[in-house]
Amino acid sequence: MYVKAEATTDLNRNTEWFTYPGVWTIYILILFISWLVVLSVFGCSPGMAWTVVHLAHFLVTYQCFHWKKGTPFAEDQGIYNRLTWWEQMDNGKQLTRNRKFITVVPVVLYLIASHTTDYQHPMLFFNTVAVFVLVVAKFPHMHKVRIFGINADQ
Amino acid sequence: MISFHLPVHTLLSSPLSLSLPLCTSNQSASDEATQSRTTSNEANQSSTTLPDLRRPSKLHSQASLTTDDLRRPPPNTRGARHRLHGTLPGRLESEAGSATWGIYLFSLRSEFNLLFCLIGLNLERAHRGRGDYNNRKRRSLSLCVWLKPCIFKVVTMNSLSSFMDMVNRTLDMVTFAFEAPFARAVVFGVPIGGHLFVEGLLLVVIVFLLSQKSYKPPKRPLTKKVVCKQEIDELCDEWVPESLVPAITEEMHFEPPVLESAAGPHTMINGKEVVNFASANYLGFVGHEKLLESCTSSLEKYGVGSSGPRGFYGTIDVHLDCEGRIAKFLGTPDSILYPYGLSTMFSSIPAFCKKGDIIVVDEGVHWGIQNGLYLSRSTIVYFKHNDMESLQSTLEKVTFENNRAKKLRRYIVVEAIYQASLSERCAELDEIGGRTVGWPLGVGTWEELGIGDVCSNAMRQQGCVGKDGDAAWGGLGAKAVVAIVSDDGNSGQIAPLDEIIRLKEKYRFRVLLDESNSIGVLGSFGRGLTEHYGVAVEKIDIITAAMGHALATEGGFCTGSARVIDHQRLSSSGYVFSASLPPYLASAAITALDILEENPDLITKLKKNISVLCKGLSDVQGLEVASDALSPIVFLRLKNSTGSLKNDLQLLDEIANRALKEDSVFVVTSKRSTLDKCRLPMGIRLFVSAGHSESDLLKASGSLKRVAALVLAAHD
Repeated sequence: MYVKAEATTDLNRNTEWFTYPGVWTIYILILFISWLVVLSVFGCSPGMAWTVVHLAHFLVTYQCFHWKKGTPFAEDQGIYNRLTWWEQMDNGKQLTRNRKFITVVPVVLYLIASHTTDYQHPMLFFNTVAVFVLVVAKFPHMHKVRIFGINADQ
Repeated sequence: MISFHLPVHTLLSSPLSLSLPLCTSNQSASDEATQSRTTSNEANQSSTTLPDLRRPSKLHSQASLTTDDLRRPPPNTRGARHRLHGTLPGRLESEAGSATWGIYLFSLRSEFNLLFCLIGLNLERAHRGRGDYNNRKRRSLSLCVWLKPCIFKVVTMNSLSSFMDMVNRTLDMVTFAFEAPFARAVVFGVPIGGHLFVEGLLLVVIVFLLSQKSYKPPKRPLTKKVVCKQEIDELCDEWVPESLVPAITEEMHFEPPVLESAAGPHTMINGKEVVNFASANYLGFVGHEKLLESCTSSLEKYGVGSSGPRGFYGTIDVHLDCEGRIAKFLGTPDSILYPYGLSTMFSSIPAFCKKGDIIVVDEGVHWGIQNGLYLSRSTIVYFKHNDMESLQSTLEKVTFENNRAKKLRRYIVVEAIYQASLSERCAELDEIGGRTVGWPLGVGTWEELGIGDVCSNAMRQQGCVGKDGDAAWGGLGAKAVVAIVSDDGNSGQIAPLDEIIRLKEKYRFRVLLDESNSIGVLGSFGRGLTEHYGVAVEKIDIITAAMGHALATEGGFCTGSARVIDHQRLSSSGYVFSASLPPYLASAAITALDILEENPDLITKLKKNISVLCKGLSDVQGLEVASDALSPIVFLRLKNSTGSLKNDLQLLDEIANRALKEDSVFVVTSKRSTLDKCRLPMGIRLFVSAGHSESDLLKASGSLKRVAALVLAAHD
C-alpha cells in the first residue's frame, strides 16, 4: 500500500528532491496539467498548446537546470557554486535513471508538439531549436563544459 | 487501409527526386531524361514521362499526365491509386501492389526535403549492394540534376553576371524546395507525414539513451588551466592574506584614564581625586548605602550569577519582583528584564521588527539601537536628528508613496534623551566596578555575567572595547576602569514626545522609545519622557531602558502591554539565549527604584545641578551648549568647527585632557567607533549627577572656560 522508498544518498539539498519517489509522476502530471491549463486559458489548438508547454518547459528547465549555478543553501560552503543544477544532479554521475528521464521528457514533448502542430513552420522551428538546445546541454560529454564560453563566468 | 504518398514533386527538386525513381529505371532512359533537362521545371515535366520510358506497354495510357494533375490531390483515393499506379518506382510498386498501396499526390511540407535527401541517399546505398543497376551512373545522374544549374552556368559564362544569375537560381531552387509539396501516409484515415522518419529516429535515440549504462565522469576542473608546481609555489608565495582588522594608526592609540575608586561624583585617577563628569550616575546612586546593603544581602542569599537563561532555571524570585516593580513604577501592565543594558535594544527590536517591516528612526540613535535595526533586517529609513518636520515628511513619504505600507508593520524608533552608544556601556562598567570594589566576584567573563553572546562578540569586535571591557569585568574588586568613552554624536536632545505621538497616530505607526537616559531623570517622579510630556504611557508601544545609568545597577528592561512583553519571553534573543541578570543586580534595581520613589527631591537636585552647570558653561569661549536645558548630558560643541571631524576631536581631546590634568575635572569627548554609523558633530560631554555639589559644578565650568580659551587660542 505504501511506497517502499530507499533513503536518499544525495547530500546536496539542491538536487536531493529529485531522488524522492513520485517525482517523475509529478513531473509528467505538471506538464499534462499545464497543457490542459494552456488549452483552456488560451483556447488554442491542442498542437499550439503542446508547443507552448514545450517552449515553457524549455525556458524553465534551461534557466533552472542549465543556467543558474550554485545552491540556495549555505551549508554546502559553496562547493557547488560553479555548477549548474544539472551538473550537481546525482553528484555528477552520468546517464543515471533520473538524468535519462529528464532527457527523454523534452524529446517526447517535442514529438508530441511537432506532430500535433502538423509540422507547421514556425512551431516546428521553435520546437526544434528548443529540443536541440536542451538535449545537447544534457549530453554526458557536455558535463562541466561551457561551449563558446556560454555561462562560463564564475 | 494504408495509402502511401510518394513525393513525386519533391523528388524533382532534390537528389532524392531522381534517386528514387531511378532505382528501377533503366540506364539509358535515365541518362536520356537527365540530359534533356536543364531546369527543375523541365525536370518536373519529364518525371512524369519517366515511367513511360520505363514501361511503355503498361503506362502508355498515363503518358499524358501533366504536372498539374500530379499536384492536385485526387478526388478519391481509389481513383488516384488507379491512375498513378504506374508512377511507382519498381520496388515500391511491387510492395504496393501486394499490400494494396493507395497512391496519390498531395501538397506537403517542405521542411523535410533535406531529410528525404538523406534517406534517399541511404536507400541508394542499400540498393547499391544489390548491384542490379549501374551505381556510378545513377549517382552521377542525381548529382547532375542537383548541380545542373550551377555547372551549366559555371561552364558557359565565367562572369559576374553569371555568378549573380547562379545565386538567383540557387535561391529559386531553395525557395522551391521549401515550397515543394511532400509525401505523407494515411494510416487508418489518419494522415501521417514523412516525419515518421524523424519520429522513428528520435525514438531510436531515446531507446539508445535508455540502454546506456550510467557512469561517474572523471574529476576535472571547469576550466583547463595548466599550472605546474613551480607556478603554484609562486602563487602561494605571492599571496598576502587580507588582514582581519584594519591597520592601527597613530590616532587609534588611546590610553583611557583609569579609575581607582568608585565612579561616584568624585573619583581617583592616577592617585588624584577628580570631579567625575564621565559617568552617567545621574542620581548619585553609585556607592549608595542602601544599594550596597541590598546587594550584599542578595549576594549572600543567591550568590553571584544565576547560571542559566531565564527559560532554563535562571529565573529567580528577585527577577520577577524586579519586573513587577518596574511595571508598577512606570504604570505599565508588565515588563521584562534583560541581563545586559545594550542587549535590551538589540534583542527587543529584532523580536518585533522583521524583514520587510519599515522602521523610521532618528539618525542620532546610539549603537545598541543601530545594531538592533541591523539585526532586524527591516527597511530602515533615517530622519534628521530630532527634527519633527523631517519625521513627518519621512512618514508621509513612507506611507503614501508605498502602496504596500498598509500591509507592513511600521515603527518609529526614538530615544528619550539622545546619548551615546559606547559611553553608555562604559558608564555601566565604571558604575559596576565602582560599586563592587572589594567584592569577591572572581573572574567575570562577559558570558558569565549574563551578557548575550551577540552582544559580547559585537562589543569585542570594536577592538577598544574587548580589552577594556574585560579588564573592567575581570578586575572587579580591584580597579574600576573607565573604558574609552566613545559614542556617537550625542546631542543631549530630548525627543518631543507629544509631537511624535501625534504623528504616530496620524500615520499609524508603532513607537519604540529608548528611555535609558530619562528614567529617574525626567518627570517630577523620574518616570521618564512620558511623565515629562504628560503622555499616557500606554501610547508608547515598546519602552526599553538600560538600568546602568540612573539606577546604577546593570541590565535592562523592556516594558509595555502584556502581549508585547509576553512575545519577548520566547522570541527575544538576549532574553532567551543568555544567562539571566545576576540576582543581586535585580535586587539593586528594586532598591534603586524604592529610593527614587522615596526621594523625589533627588530629581529636583539633579535639575538644579543641570541648570547651574549650563549657566556656568554658557559663556565658555569657543564652545556652546548644544544639549537641552533639562538633559543631564550636557553637550559642549565647538562654535566654529575646524571643518573635519578628526581635527575637531583632536581639539576637544586636548581640552578634556588638560582639564583632567590641570584642574582635576574629568570630562570626555565623543569618540566614535568605526562601527557607529552616526555622523553628528563631535563634542565634550558632561554627565551631571545629583551627587555633584555646587562647587564641583562651578569648578568644572571654570576649568573648561580657562582651558578652552587657552587651547583654542593656541590653535588659532
